[in-house]
Formats: sequence, C-alpha cells, structure tokens
Amino acid sequence: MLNGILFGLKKFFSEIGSGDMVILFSSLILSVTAISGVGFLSDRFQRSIQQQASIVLGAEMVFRSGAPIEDRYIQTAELKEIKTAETTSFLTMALTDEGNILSSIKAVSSTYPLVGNLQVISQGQSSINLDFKQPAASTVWVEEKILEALNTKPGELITLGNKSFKITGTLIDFPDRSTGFLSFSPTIIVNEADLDEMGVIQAGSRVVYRQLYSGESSELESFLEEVEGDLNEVRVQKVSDIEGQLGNSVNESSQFANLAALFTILITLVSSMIAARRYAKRHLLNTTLMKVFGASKKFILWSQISQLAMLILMATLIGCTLGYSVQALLESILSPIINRELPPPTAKPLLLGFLTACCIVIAACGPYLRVLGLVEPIQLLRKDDTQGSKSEASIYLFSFLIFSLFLLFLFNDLSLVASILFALLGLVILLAGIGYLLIFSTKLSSVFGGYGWLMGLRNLSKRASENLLQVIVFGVSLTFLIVLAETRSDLVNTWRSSLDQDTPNYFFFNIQDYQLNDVKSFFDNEMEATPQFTPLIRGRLIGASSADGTLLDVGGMMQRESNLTWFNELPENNSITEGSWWADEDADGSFISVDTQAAKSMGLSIGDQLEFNVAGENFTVEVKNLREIKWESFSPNFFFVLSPAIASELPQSYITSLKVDNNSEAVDIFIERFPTITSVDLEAALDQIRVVLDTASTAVQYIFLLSLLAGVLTLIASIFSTVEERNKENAVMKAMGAKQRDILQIALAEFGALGLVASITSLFVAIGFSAYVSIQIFETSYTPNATIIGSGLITGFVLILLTGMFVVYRALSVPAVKTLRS
Amino acid sequence: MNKAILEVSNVTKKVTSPEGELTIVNDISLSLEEGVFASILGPSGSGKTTLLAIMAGLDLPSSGSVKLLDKEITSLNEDKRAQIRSKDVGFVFQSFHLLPRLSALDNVMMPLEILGAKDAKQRALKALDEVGLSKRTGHVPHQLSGGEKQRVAIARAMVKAPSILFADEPTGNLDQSSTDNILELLLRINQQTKTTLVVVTHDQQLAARSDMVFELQEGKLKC
Repeated sequence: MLNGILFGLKKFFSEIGSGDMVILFSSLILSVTAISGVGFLSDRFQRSIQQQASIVLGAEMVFRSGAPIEDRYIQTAELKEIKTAETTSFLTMALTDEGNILSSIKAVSSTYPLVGNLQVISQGQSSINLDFKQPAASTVWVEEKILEALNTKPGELITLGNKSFKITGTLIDFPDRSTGFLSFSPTIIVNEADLDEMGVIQAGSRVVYRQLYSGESSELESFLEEVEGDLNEVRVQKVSDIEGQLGNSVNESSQFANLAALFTILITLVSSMIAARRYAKRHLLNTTLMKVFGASKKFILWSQISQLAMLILMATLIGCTLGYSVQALLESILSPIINRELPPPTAKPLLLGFLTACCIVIAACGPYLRVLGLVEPIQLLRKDDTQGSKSEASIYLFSFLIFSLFLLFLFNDLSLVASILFALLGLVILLAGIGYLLIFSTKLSSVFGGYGWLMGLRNLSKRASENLLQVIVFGVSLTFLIVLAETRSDLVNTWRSSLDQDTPNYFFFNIQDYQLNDVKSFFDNEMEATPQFTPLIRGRLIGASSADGTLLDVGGMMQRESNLTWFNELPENNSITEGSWWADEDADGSFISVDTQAAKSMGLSIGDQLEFNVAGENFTVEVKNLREIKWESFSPNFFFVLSPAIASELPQSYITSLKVDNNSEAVDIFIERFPTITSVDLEAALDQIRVVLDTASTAVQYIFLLSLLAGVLTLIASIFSTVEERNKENAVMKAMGAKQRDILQIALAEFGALGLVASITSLFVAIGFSAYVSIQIFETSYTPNATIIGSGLITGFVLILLTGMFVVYRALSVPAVKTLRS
Repeated sequence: MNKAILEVSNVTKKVTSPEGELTIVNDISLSLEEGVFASILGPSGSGKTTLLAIMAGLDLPSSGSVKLLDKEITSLNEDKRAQIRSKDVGFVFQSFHLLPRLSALDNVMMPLEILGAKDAKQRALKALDEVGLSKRTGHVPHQLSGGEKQRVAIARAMVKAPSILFADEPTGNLDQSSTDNILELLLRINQQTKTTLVVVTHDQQLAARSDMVFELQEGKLKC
C-alpha cells in the first residue's frame, strides 16, 4: 500500500499537466468555489445570529405585546435583582420644513438597552459614543436616512405627532432592531416620557410594547415560572427562540443559495466525467503496463487513490480560497440589505468544499477506477485497444446515485431532493428536446457558404450527443440567468404598470374617531376624494375550536397580533365562497368572516369558534362565511371581518387608502395638519421591495455565473475528448488540399451553429419559465424584455463560439504530418 | 548442463469466439535452460503471442502447467504471478509501450518504483547508459526515434536484472538498421548477463542467431 501511495504521489506532478487532469482539477476547483462561497456566507450569517441573538432582543428575555404590559412584571423581576427596561415602538410621520418621512419610533426607558450598545454620534462630535442609554426629554436620536430625506442635521428641530424635538445625535446602530411592519422605516429613538405629549398612540393604534429583562439565567427562569400563568396576551421571547427563528430564515436562504451552487456542481460533474473517461482511457496503457511489470491490484488502486486524493486536497485548498473571495463579493452585493458586520467564518465550509470535491471525484472517477482495476495485462500483448469494458449506462447510474446522496447530505430533506431531481430531469428533457430539434434542423437547412459551412453543420449533427450535452449544460445556466434577470426588476415594474390608474397609492392609518370628520372634509376639499374609512381593531387570536368544542390547531396565527375590522355589508373586492354574509336576523350575533386562503391554512370551516383578545377583553365568534379577497385592489383588506354587534363597541381607529397625484402637495399639508396620522407611500414601499429583490437576485446571478463558467469547462472537456479525432480529420483534409482557412471555417460553422442552438434553446425555455412565473405565480402580465433576451442570445453564442474556436485553434497548431505519422 | 528456468507441460489454450470454441495453443511442452536465447517462430495467428503470455504468467492456460523459476505459476493467483513478474521477468513489446508523458528516465524507473527501490534513479541511469542512451534520459517518447524507443523499452525491461526476458516481436516496428542494433543489444544482454531470452518473431535473421528455435503452426509445435 505504501509503495502504491508513494508511487502515485511521485507521478502526480507529471500527471497534473495533462489535459484531462487540468479539466478535472478545474472542475473540482469551480465546484468547491461555488459551494464554499455560499457556505462561507451562510456560516458567517449563522455565527452572526448566534453572537447577535441577545443583541437582536436587546436583552436576554423580552415580553412583547400589542397592548400595554402591566408594570407588576417589572416589579417582580426587580425583586429578583433582574435588570429591566421598557420600549414602545410604532410608526408615525417625522416632519421638518423640508418634508416628511414615515419613521419607526422607539420610545425607551432610562435603562435601555440591557444587552448591546446604542451607537450614537452626538451633535458636534465625529466619534461614536457607546455609553448612551436614553435621549434627554424633548430630544431625539435619528438615523442618517432621516437626516438625508428631510435635509436636516443634528441641532435642528423635527416634529413627531404633536411635539417638536431637537435632534441631538445621529443614530448609528442599536440592539433589538425591529422586524415586520416597523423594519422598512428608519428609526428615531425618543425618551418614553415624551410619549403622551406626542399624542400618536390612540385606541386601535398599531404599537409594540416590550419589557426587557436581563440577569442570571436561573433567576430569569424562576421569574418566568412565577409570572407565566397570568401573562395572557403577552408573548415571551428568549435568546434561544430568536436563534431558532433567525436560524430558520438563514437556513432557508442558504438552501436557496445552495440550490444555485448546485447547478455549478452538477455541470462540473459532467465535465469531470468527460475528463475522467479520458483520464481512464489514457491510464489503461499505464495500468496495464504496470500490471505486466508486476504491480498488484492494490498497488495500482492506492497509486490512483493517492493521486486523486492529492487532487481533491489541492482543489479544496484553491477552491475554498476562491470561495472566500466569492463570499466577500456576495457580501458586498448584499450589503444594502445586510446592515451589519458579519463575524469571520468557521472551518465548516472547508469541510463542505472537501466533501463536494470527494463526491465529484467518486461519482466521476469511481467507475473508471474499477475499469482500471479490472484491466488484464494480457491486453498489451494481444494489442487490444485498451478500452474499458464497463458499460456507460452503469457508470451514469453510479454517478447519479452518488450525486443524489450528496444532495441528501446537503439539503437533509428527502422530498426536497426528490423535487430537485424531478425538476432537473424535466428541465434536461425540455432542453434536450428543443436542442435536438434545432440540431436536426441544421441538417435540413440549405447551405449558403460552400464546403466549410456544410462540413461545420455536418459536424454538429455528426457529434449530436456531445453537442446535445453542451446545449443542456449551457441551457441550464443561461436559462436561470435570463429568468433571474427578467423577473427581478421587471416583476415589480410590470406589476406596478398592471395596476389600475385609480389604484390607491397612499394608505392613511391611525385615524382616530375624533379626527374622522376633519379628515373626511380635508380629503373632500383639498383632494376631491371621498374614500371609504375602514375600522381597524388590533386583536390577538387566543383560541379555536370546532362547532362540537374540539380544540383546533390553527398554526402560526395563534397568539399573533392581527388586524380586525367589521362591516355591515360585504365589502367591494370581496366575494363569498362558502357560507353566507350576515343578514338582518343576525344583527345581535357574534360572527366572523374569514379569508378563504387563511381559513384553509388554519384548517377552519363554517361553524368553528374563534376566541380573540382585544385590549384585554376576550370574546368568542362563530365562523359565518369564507371570503375571497381581491388583494390587488389596494383597498384595506382583512383576513378577519367581525359582525357589527360584537365589534362596533371595541376600541378602534380607522384606515383608508386613496390615489394621490404624484405632484400634489396635499399629502404634505395633510401630514402637517394631522401629525398623529400615519401615511404610507406605496410607491416608496415598492421601491424598497425592488431594492431587496434586485440585491438578492444579483447575488444569486453571480452564483449562476459560476455555472456558466462550468459550462465553458464542459465545452472544453467535450472538444478536448474529440481532439484526436478532429486532428485526424484535419490532417486528412490538409493532405487532400484543404487550407487552414477552410478548416477554421468548418470550426466557425460548427461552433457558431452550436452557440446559436444552445442560446435559442435557453431562450425558449427561459421565456416559458419567466412567463409561467409572472402569469401563474405573480399573476401579472409578461412581455419578454428585449434587452435581456438579446444579451442572453449574444452571450451564449459568443461564449460557445469563442471557447470552441480557442480550443480547436490550439489543436490545429499540431502539424498535420505529425498527426498522420502517429 | 544448466538448470531449467522454464518448463511448459502440455499447455492448451482454448477461447470462445462467435464461430465456436477455438484452440489457440494445442498441447505444447517445452523446456528452457538458464541463459539460453530461444526464438518462437510462426505465421500470424499461430499462437506465438498467446504461448509467450502463458509462459510469462500474463495469461492462464485452459489445461497444462507452466513452471517458471521452480514455481508452478499456473496455480497462482494474479497477485502472486505479478509478484514473480515484478522481480524476475522482463518484457519488451513490438510497439514499445512507453508512457508518453514520462521521460526516458522515468519510464525506465517505473518497474523499480513498483518494487519500492530506493536507488531507482541510479539504476535506471545505468540501464540507459548500457543501451547507449545516457544523453537522452530527459527526452519524452515522441522526441525519440523508433530504435531509441525500443532501447528505452529494453532498458526498462532489464533495469531490475530479471532472470528471464520475454520479447514480443521486438523489431517488428523498426527499419533494418534499427533492427540490427536491437538484435545486437539483445544478444549482448543475453551473453553478458546470462539472462534467458525468449523472443517471438517473424524475423528469420533473429531466429538464426538464437540457441533454440520453436516453430508454431496452428497452435502446435512443429517438430
């Protein structure tokens, strides 16, 4: 064994320069780069979550509610020497003379934050101060985005609700950044003592109240045990919950990125298999000769294994180094939506890179190693063509099994792996079908440029299986690149343009009862609009049971803050799918109407009972009907609509939406007049969504670029595998009088046609896929983007043509006489 | 009288072909003493190469036995036969079979490296010197002429000082001048090192200079 290993290692460096080893080596490097690039970034996210979980909470435990939380919990905790703090968060408009912006307000107590630091640059200073706890009364710290949007600076005044504040610092970072409805707006930190004067929080306002706790974990546990029984609507969040929640979302994102990297791995597996076949063919002589000279099977096996192990180690090292650069690139692309420094990665991605390289080598080279092991020394004397006897079908089957096992390891989800494999199979069949038709059509097309073109097109169909493989390989990469490019910005644009001209573009909420008449007359007089005002009730679903009293599991909706409303009549853009709307005889009944999709996900049916808590009061309602909502109407729509008898007396505010002319100053005037009412500009929200979509899809596109590179490698491997055959053909043609120019023309025709076939095939599939995504999933119209389609066509064509010509041109440099002699 | 190095007893080799069972070698018995130069002559398809492969332990007969260096090799498994070949048997092929990416020196070193010899380089340089190629050690096969390639192949076969050297039509791919050189080299090796030499050939000139000639006709030894 040792002799075999030493022999293999000694020969490794003379082997590494051979064409097949270069391709195998490059394929491994590329796949390790792709998987480790994604792996490093995911790993850094995971570590960041572990490190930041307590900072995400701003404490070690948090009580959270949509209604004020009783002080007695704080008092109980302080008796146990647990540190406490309180925050109150909500959205409102921030105003200056220069304009207004929707902002997330966080009112904090004097001990906030308990974990992590508030990072503030004080007025007139340039360095970040980490010691601040709470702004002084009547002063605020605001994020840079607000300063930019309102063209203001520290030292100047800003109005929140009914109160003006002096900006005394720029907020750089803070713990417990909001998620959900508050997360899109920049933050302002205020002193909790100013809340009343602001006058923004009214009945029905959407507010998040938090009590923060920090201390010894045993004390925290004992405190929780003591108060847990009567927490009612208060939700408890612990560091471990945050790790789990964030970890899940990072896992899902990582799996999506892994899926993108998977295409690179799959394509490099193809190039590796082509290279491995050539490697094995070349080594059959070597191996047979070694057997003749007395090498045992074990010696040969270990010498091959040591060479491949060396290849794996080197590819892992180089691939992971490149992968680290790829993740740095992805990190910089994603920086607009990451918003924080990520810690350095662990060694896990190195292991993943190593396992990927092992998997490819085993899948691609394993069957051929067996062929080498089985070769008989007598073949040399019989002058047999030392070919492997193993059938190609069993080799492909083995590779497929190893690849499937790798997928299982990567995703740890059998049904997901099965779906991936079926989807891949479908895609391959589709690409192969269209590709085959196009290749076949070149055979029938009339020849316009003489002998060179004729031969080139003949070559395309003569090597149909190799060329079809190229069409599939390039097709997969190009298809996804085109689909991603098409769906990212265009999706938002198309959706926006598909909306009615009169579709509302502004939402106004937090309108109180006492403001209703003034707001109506403002809209009527200043904006010539008479929108409908919809009651908004903040409540929490706390129980569900069937008509016979059996408790129901309604999943994630339970214990979550929900928006409720009530109507006498079925609202516009809603239609009953099951049950009936409440009639006059139901006037005193406690009923609820539920959105059909929500009911389906919660497993609800007509007659079920739902228990809600609103402002500390519990009540039960019966599901009277299910409704289908036309969400794209952009009117205020609700999952839950209560019947008037139960809802009309509950604490509530109002919400409305209307179309405002973009150039109108009416909204600014409205916000100045009603500073406690919150307005949301949908155009701005859509722009934010577009930034997130653009950023994320650009990052994924970069991962797919690696798969395009893998496609180039496969093309090189494929041409390389036919290089002797091409050399012989060229030498014979030269001997018969063909010029170098004629031979180049043949290659030009062959690879030009292949480039066109591959690009057109990808375009067909990409257009179909994009249309499906737009029409079926996002329910918008679809018009192919000519620029993206054109770029895809040109990229595919040029890439294949240039790669093909480069490899063939190098092969042509071998003198014909040398080829004929050999 | 020298000791027998190779004893072939009633060896028959049958193979299955689309036309039915074919007898390639039919009941052959022969014996070679240490240090002899033996030629096996015969037309194409007469079973020469198959007989050579069986004598060298590269193939197994359908019946009969082969005793090489006092070991009954027909009853050994492939690894045991490989062990014998690694130490005591050398091979030269008609089409040289040099590894194209390796230099002449590396090609000659290969059998020693399989054995794990520490002085492989020195011994390979010496072997190349003995075949007159001390100035071509760094050349790869495509930089060498046909005769030079075959001399590298002979150096490779002799580098481990085998007891017996099998050559399968060693001059079959060479011009007359190279053929003469190779023949002289093989004879010199046989005389100087007392290595037993078994050559399969069509070349009457080569056969004429050997100590023993076996002629095969349709798988049988011609008496």
